[in-house]
Amino acid sequence: MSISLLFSHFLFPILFLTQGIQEENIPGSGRGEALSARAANYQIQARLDPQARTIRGIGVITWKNLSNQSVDRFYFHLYLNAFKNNRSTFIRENHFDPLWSRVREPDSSYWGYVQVDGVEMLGHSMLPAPGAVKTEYVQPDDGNSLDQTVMVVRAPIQVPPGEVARFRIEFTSKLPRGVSRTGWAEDYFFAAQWFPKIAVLKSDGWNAHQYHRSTEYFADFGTYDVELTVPASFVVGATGRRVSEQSNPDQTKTVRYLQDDVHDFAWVAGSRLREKKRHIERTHFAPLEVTLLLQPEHEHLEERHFTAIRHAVRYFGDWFGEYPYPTLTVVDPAYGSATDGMEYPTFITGGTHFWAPRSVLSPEGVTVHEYGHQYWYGMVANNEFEESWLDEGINSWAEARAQKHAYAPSAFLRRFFGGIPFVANSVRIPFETSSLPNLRADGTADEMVRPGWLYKDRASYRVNSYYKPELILWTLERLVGGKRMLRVMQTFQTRYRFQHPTTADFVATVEEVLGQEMDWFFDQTLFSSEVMDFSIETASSKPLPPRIGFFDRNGTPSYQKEKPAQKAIYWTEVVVRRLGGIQFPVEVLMVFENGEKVRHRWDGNYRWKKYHFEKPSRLKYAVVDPERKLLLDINPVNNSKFVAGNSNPVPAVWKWASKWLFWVQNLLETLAFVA
Amino acid sequence: MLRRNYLGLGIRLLLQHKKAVVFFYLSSLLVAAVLTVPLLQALQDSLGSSLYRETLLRRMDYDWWRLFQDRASGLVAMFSPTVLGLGPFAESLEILLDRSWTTLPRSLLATGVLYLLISSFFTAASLGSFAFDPAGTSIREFLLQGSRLAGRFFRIGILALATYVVLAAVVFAPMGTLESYLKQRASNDVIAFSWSFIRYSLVLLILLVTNMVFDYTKIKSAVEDRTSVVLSFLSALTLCISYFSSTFGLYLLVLAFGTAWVLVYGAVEYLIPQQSWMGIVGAFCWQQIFIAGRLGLKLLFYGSQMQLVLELEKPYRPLKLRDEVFASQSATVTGSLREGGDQSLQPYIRLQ
Ligand SMILES: [Zn+2]
Repeated sequence: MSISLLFSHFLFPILFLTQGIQEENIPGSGRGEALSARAANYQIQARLDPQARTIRGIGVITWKNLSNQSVDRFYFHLYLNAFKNNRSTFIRENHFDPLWSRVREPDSSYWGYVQVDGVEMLGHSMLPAPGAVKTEYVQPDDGNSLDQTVMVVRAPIQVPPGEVARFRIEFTSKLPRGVSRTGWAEDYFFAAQWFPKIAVLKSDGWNAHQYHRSTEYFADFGTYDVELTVPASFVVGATGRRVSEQSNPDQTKTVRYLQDDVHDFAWVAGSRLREKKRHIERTHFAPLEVTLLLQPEHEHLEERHFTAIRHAVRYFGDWFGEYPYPTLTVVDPAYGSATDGMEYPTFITGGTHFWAPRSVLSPEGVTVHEYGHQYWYGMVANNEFEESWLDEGINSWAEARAQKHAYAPSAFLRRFFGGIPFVANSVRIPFETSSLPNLRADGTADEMVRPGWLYKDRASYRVNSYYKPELILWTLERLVGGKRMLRVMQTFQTRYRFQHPTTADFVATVEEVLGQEMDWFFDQTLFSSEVMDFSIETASSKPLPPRIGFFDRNGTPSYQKEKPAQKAIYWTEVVVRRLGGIQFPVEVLMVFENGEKVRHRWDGNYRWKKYHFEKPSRLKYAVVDPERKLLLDINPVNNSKFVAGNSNPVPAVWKWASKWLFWVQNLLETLAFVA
Repeated sequence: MLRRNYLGLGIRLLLQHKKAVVFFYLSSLLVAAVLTVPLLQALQDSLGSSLYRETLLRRMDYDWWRLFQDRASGLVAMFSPTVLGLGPFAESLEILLDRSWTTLPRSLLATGVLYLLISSFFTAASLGSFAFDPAGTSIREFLLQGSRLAGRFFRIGILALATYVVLAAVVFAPMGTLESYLKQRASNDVIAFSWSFIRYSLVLLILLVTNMVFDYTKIKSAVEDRTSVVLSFLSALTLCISYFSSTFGLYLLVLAFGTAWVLVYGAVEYLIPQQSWMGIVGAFCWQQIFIAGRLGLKLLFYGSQMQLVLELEKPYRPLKLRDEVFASQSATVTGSLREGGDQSLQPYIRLQ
């Protein structure tokens, strides 16, 4: 008996899906206005076996050819094969470390894969009966022949532009031990990237990429209609709205989820999750149904989660347009599951610590961030493989902006003794510049806009996907002003909702809205590996000496020797230096002891600029970029200089040195304990 | 448990030997000052002429600190917001319990060893003085007691250090491995934290008991004038085991005092506004008072422990601090004690 026969006869009591799919789910069938092109539509019935940690599924994919070419080769992502063995590209890129690093020898239950048990092409108009297909694995990114994360299906016919093709795929997904986003931990099952997923056909061919260590995903929008059969005692959460739930005689239940105009489907099931529901009012849509799935030991943090979501829904709605889906599900992942904070359409994961001080923004930060992805990734669906900054970078900026409106900056936190929080409430982490240290450390590793798997290393991926673009956007906002910045981002969001924009589309939108050419800005930031660092190199003021020597009088040199003046005139010199590669125009402010302020604008092109003044007052200090508009500047401390006076330590130095002295005294005394 | 008020007796003993606190305090201040010089320089380089010096006078600036940390290396790189509030206590205790002191910067380790030596000398001097003349000693006598017992105390220190190293390798390291094993299998973060907390608590408990035994080793070595460190250790061990509730009870009592002192420190420090010269100086003074208090508590503890030893180990009787008695006798016994051989410890007998 073949696996597929066993599967359809015994594991699924009701036979389904072999011929035709319900017409109501075909895109454009009239059930609600289609917001997207709905090119990739899935009907999946899946059953979780918690003992074997497998999901067996049958899916019918209805795919529409939106390109201008006929195709008979279809690319599918089999993402779960990244966890199949230690020769996959994912693990190879992690230096062959399968990430279960704390387990010396992970047993077979730790590895995961997706096995395609059968593929058929269903009743196409040119193909009256189910047609046989051939499959093979390909490796478009790195040629690693052992990587099986991209599969090509060769169909018996060509599918012309505008036509629809339907595939019936039987598959078995063995979930890995949770190590990177997807997988199990005890009786918690997080299923992400768990089913064969068709790639995106563009005018220049299929856009399919292998599963990499440092990339996310890319897919077409469509309708997902998914039935999940799980143990009856499990709490389930998933993308979309739950349209039905029924108990089965075998101690299981089947829940059905439906969602239009999304490009992925993930779900979670587990016995320990606690379900909380709230509704959030909206202007143009019915109240948003928010489902929070909490770990029991985090139940006391329910209110903080909902408050964060409320803030996020409000600010993102105000700035980028209202969230259009009927539901949002937020998952607090199980301990050690490595689900981490992650975004899926209408379904996000966060995470926190049971001992969560109020002045530290956890769970708030991650919750707002992942919600923000509903806009930047979810609706504006860029290719995350190729231009990760468009989702992670823009969203990091938007997330920080929303948090800045909703909360005071997070306090410094360090956990001692495995979890006891030490919070320094007087030390606040600024929303805008918290990622500056990362830019300093890895900012020159790569040009920013680059395919995710081609960055030098993971640190560079993170800097160029998250931190640098965030700082670029903050800098842009400070240069053009908050209102204009919002108009830019609003336009970009509304124009490219349910589409796949690129960096070029973003730049064009910025230039159009601002009404100016912005090459000077983007060439040096998005398309560069240079960093920005302006500094005041020297600032000095000294009295002008009395005149001595020959000075012309009536055209004739005449010897003069002035007496020292009653009121000294000071000669002030300020040297501003550009230490980084980025050449931006920048303001320079000189403040004199009599309170006079002089402001100059330097084009920042040459390596340095010298300013001279002859004034009745000494210079007090000079500062470059006094309003700190250029948040990309990796060293804000060298941006200002007091005129050199005496070299005694300043009060701030004494203050912190005395605290350090006390710290050392305590450390010495504690260490003296051992002898 | 504690039948007598050893703590009260300890306080009286401490009051008679206030100079011991001064010596301890000065050594703490001087050694820590040596390690403050590099930071002072680094702070001045970073803040000396930048506008950030104004911000840093008011509060720690996160951007500034991260930049400072990026540029710093070695000891100075350990400067962080944990210098604030109760951070110093948490951080130093974690370093101790985590054995991570082995990875500390060399300058800190070297200075730490120096501090141990100095501290060991003054402990010797203090315990020697307590035993030699409960009513108080002159500076010369204090230092003489130190030099008399320093060799022995140094050997006790080596033995204690060796014990710590053995414990670290044989007990603490496997405990750490077990902790990560259990945490990895924990089903939630509360359980995971509990494993860590239990591990830290057990390590602390073991260290406390070990430390207590070595405290009594030092006391016995001073009181009984033994030269054999091993014999002193065994004798102290027997004492601790025989009278565990008294010895450990006293230990916990002092520990409770210490904890209370830390909390008082934290509360007062929190209330001092530190944005002006006055505030900075005020906070510094309070910190130094705390350190002096902490060292005083240590000595008070030694004194109380010594009282306990004398009470438990008859025929020695606890010291009765009749100042007028001590005053006339202290000078005459110096010679006999320094010759060493007399096990009967004349000063105490005469005090009865
Ligand atoms: Zn993100």
